[in-house]
Amino acid sequence: MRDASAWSPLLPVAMVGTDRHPAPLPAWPGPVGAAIAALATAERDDGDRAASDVLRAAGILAVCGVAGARPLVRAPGGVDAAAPDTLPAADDPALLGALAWTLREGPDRLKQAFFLRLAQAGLRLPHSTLPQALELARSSLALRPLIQPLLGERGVWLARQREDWQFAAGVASVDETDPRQWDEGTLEQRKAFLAAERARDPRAARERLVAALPELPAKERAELARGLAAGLSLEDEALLEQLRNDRGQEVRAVALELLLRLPDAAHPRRATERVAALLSRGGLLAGRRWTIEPPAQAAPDWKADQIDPDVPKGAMGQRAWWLYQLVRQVPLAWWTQHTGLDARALSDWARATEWGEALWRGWRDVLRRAPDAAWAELLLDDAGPAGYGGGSVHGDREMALDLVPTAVRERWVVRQLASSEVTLSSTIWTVASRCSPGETISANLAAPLVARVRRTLALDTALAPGVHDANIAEQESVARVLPELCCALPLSFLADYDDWAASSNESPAIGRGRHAGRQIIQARRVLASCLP
Amino acid sequence: MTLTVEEVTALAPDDASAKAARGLVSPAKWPLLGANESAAWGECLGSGSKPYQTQVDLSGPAFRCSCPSRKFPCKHGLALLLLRAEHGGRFTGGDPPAWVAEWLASRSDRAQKKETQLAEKAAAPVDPQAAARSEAQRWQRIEGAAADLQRFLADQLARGLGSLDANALKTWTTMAARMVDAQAPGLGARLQDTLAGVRQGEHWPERTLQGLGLLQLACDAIARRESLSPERQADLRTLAGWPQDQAAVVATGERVADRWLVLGVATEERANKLTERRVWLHGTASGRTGWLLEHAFAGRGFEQAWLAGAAVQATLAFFPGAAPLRALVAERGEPCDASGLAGDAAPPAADAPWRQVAERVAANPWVTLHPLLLRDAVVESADDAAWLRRGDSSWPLRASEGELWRLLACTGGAPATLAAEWDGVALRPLTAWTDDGRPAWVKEVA
Repeated sequence: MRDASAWSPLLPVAMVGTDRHPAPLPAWPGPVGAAIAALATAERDDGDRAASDVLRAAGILAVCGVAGARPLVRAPGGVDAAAPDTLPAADDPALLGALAWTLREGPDRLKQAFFLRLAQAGLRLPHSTLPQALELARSSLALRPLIQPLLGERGVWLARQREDWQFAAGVASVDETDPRQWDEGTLEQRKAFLAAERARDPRAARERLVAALPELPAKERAELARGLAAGLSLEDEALLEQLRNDRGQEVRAVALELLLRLPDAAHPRRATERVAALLSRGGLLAGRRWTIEPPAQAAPDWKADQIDPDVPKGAMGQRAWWLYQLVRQVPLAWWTQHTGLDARALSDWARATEWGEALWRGWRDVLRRAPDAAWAELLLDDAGPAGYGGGSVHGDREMALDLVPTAVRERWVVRQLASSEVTLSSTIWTVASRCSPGETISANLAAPLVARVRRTLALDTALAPGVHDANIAEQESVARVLPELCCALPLSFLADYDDWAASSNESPAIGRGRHAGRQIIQARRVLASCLP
Repeated sequence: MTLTVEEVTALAPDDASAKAARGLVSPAKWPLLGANESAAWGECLGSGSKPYQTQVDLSGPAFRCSCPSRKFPCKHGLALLLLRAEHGGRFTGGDPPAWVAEWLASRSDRAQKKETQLAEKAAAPVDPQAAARSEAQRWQRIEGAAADLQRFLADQLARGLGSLDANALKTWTTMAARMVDAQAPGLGARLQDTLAGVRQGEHWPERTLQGLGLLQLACDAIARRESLSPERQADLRTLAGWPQDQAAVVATGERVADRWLVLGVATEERANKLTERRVWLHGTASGRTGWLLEHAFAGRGFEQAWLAGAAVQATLAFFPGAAPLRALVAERGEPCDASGLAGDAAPPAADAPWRQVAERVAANPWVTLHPLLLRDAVVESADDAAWLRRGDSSWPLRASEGELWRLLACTGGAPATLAAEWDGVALRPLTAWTDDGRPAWVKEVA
């Protein structure tokens, strides 16, 4: 390195100038100093000898600085070399090529498919792709758990060296039974470890969590407590009762959510008793109809059960608010058992009462926290009572689509495809975005979907101007979701993708969508053949 | 020889070409794919009715394609090599079709012709007296320019660097332009480079003094040129920006035949859409270092491809100079086994590369870039900087954030062999090896 201090004697005269700083050249030690000192005695016929000699001295320092460059003496950075990797790296050239493209340009869904297959095949990512993979894992919480098992020792070693990759800096072992995962791991690794232990021995996992709770921040308490959902039983009630009164709001919400799934626990039992007292059934003359009468006043024991007697400003009427809060603590199954009405009948009933909105809001909250297929399916077609202000129809439907089983969802989409009201591109999005990572949609849905896409791409765009524009707009909207579709369709339905009609005057947007789709299909084919 | 995907990608003239090529890596788009030991060829379906005929001479690799692209190599050529790397089984073997065979034959014809031409040119009778006269005239102009420059430099120092304001700096630009007019553009460029650093960064006075000091030495040397050896005179000629005649270099330059290992390739965008490529070669038997410096315009790419970590049997012709570094390829043979880099019979001492730098600078103080091959060195990221460490000695690394993390990922904190360019301040990493095989990391094309 250039030694900055060697220059300091020269700086004053150089900055001020030899005109105003007439002095002999400073002296330097050693052979460099001797070379500079020799300048004074050399015979020359320079115009401005003083100035030129300053420059000559600078030249000597420059040359000697490069020739005698010395390294900086500093202690090692304190990072040991990475441990050798135990997993083999993916090394098939075709696979590496497709992987590189996917990491750089592929949609997330395709990335997920690659990551899952690599993990299933017991492979890790090649070293050169690690920074890119860590960046992806940093920015996408959806990709992170899929990338982590592929990092290997080298990836974990790399992650430890960068602040924003700390999420992956835990333990390289992907063995979920390795206790180091709990003792030294990141939050993600601890969650995975706890889940594995919960599956083997629910009590041990619970006790491990109880022991750790006092040291954990609220966010981690909530995340780890959520893991109790697997293998939930009444034995967990005491812990949930404790968490229901936790300092952290998120922790309390998790506890209440889990209690909803334990109808025999004391808290939901109290909740159902409160609601049961509000329900009554008319006599034969009244057609044995159920009626509901919200509480007339708040009860003193509500607060201890997380029921807030004070209405937030502008939410709803006081009694409706109270009813809503009581309903949102009652498991949905209780309603069908207690009234003998199914979800659809209950919905119709609620619509006919004056308290439809409060009931619906409560039910919807419960549905979100403790999914129930029958109620979710109801929500697909039933938008709730008129004027129901609890959420948008669209939002409820999106939630329902997430909650219903795949087969129900696909049947619903097939029906939608037959109607002309929905746009094809949003239907494709609905389907593709809910396809589990690495999975494809069923043939039952794929066939009508492909037929509809092909019909749209074949629309005549050379018609009269108005029609022409509409057709192009429709094609472009489909082209935008083609990449998603090409990820979600079974490969067999994409065999003749290149023949999907395109008019001769295809717009650039359509061309881009078709091209992106083609590249995705190619990458999927490579993946399927390299890691069958 | 089959190139890896990374190696093919490194041949792309730019990122867009690499991407476009990737889009063509689908055997379905190639109704014809063939290859033998010396060439690969294929027909690629494009937008027209006739497929493009794409062929690659693997000994180069050299490319040719019937597509109209101005990029070189074009996406079809790159895609063909990517296909070969990823789907080698799809290629049929045997004799190439006529359009390939003809091209290969014409290539070897042309190579021969070029050599003959060069030989003829070198042997062409020129009027030696006229040549000497024009050479003397040019030296005279350069000497005049150097004397002007020296007065100018002294003037700057007499007034002091602290007084440099916008007006004063304008005169620097004028002076640099005068150097160009006086047929000494090299001196002008150095003045411009120094000017660019004025009032930039913490140590600008030192850096400015360094630039001006080296120019002063240049002026002094040019003034007493006739007393210097022909090699040093050749260095001054290069310094002044008076290019050597390449035909003469091939004909009369010092020739070194060796198995040359490609230490690294650096590509940089220069002004006016000019791309500069520096290829550093290490003679495995001679221990010599060769530097191929080439320029290409507007993403046109370079005819000959050099892959970091590969080895080629070749004869280099060196430009004259007191510490010859720059060279031309006089004869290029077959690619050969590249192993043996890390496993030299007697690994050189740790300070040997630095000793070479010192000796080179002693012979020619104006060399600005030195290739280094450093062994047992650990790449580290610490204190917000990147380092190359060996024991408790560290050298700063200059690399982009992305390069550094990939380099760290590929070396894993273990001792590696690193090829780098040293500019007197920092090392710019080019290639890294962690074992005797292919490089673990290669700097990507800019």
